[in-house]
Amino acid sequence: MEGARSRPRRKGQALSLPEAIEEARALAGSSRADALARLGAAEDAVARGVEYGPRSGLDEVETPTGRAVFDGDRVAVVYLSGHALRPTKPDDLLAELGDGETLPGAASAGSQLHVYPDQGLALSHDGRKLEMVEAFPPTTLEGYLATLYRNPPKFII
Amino acid sequence: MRALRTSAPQLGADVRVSGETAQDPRHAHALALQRSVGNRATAQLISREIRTIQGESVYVRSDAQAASAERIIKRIRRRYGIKIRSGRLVRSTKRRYKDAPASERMKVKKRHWHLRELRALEKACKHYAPILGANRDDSTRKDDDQEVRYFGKATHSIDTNTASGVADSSTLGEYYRADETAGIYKIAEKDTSFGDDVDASLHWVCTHELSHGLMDYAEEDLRAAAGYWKDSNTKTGAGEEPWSGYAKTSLGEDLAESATAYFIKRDEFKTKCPKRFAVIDAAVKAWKAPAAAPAAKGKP
Repeated sequence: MEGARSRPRRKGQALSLPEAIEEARALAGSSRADALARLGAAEDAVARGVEYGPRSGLDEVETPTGRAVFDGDRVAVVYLSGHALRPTKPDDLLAELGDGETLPGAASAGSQLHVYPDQGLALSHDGRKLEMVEAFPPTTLEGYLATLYRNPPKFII
Repeated sequence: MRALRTSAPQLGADVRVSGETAQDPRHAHALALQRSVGNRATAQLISREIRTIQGESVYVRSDAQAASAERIIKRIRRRYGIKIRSGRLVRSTKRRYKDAPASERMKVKKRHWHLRELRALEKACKHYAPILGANRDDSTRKDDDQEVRYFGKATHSIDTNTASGVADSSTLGEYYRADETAGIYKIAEKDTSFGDDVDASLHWVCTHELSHGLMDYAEEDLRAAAGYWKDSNTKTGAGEEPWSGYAKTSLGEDLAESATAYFIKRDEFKTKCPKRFAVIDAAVKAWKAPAAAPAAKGKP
């Protein structure tokens, strides 16, 4: 993205991210029971047998900014919609996080996905439009690709 | 029959070639044409050419068509604040697909316009007239920059921004949000995927590309109202079915297809997708700022 430049981040250096994203990271690091308790949600609010990216048979609960997806007793990913994160801009996040690993995103033809596997974060944007942020338990790029990455559809117009 | 280019001899209306002694092979070609199809047909054939009009290459069949193309390009710029700039589309395409091999990116080149494409674009712009150009200042969208400022035509897009990306022949048009640029590609010249004929499909594709930029702000409203999407490309498994099969590609495509259907297939869209219709209708009706409404003028 124009204007956003990778800044090497030393391991262990604290990130300064919007509160909603920090909350999502905290949720992503918790158990299903703890996550539900933090959200004030009961088990009967959980939808079962849902899909996320390449995976199916997951459970999920809505959150004020998107949804939390469970894989058994653990949180698989917390999804935050770009709309719910307004007025946060992609440039703001990229300035803090750097470019990370970049891949084609699935939301639009211009979608660019930035993955920070060891930080447990990913974001996608199309120009100045922030499309989404994902918080997940830290993993590797291969782990992200296998469990969360959405293959972009074919856009023809 | 292959069109003659700008280098064709300027023969005038009766395309008489002076004698049988013309050495220039182009003259010989014109003479052969004159013999086989007659003066009028030959005049039409050799007047087809690619001319540079307002900095863009445009294929025209006559001076009248050239003049028409020039008027359209000027009107689109003046009325709608959209400049026809194929060079920008080429740059935007190459930038978006920067990780594709250079050999593939080099295939992306400017492509000449045809008059029908310019006409289709102007028709598409008319749908959005209240929020384009100077009109935008009198609309409720005035606080946001116009999302489409350039429109171009190029030979190809590229299928994916990876090392395996190739110049494709299936992308009809594309919007480049970061560059405020949209455009169509060569394949749209003959495609009828989105209309009963080429003209209808071009109108649809141009409106769709404008919609990606100009209606994007209504995306969340559409998502919430239709109940079809959990997020940009995860379906709920319920909700109102989108307008078309292509609209099921993603929430963004659903929005662009909905806005396009609202303008071009209004009655069918209202019947098939009443929830989406309500969202787009409310957005469009809200464009006119209360202070700019004629009824408000002169009232106490």
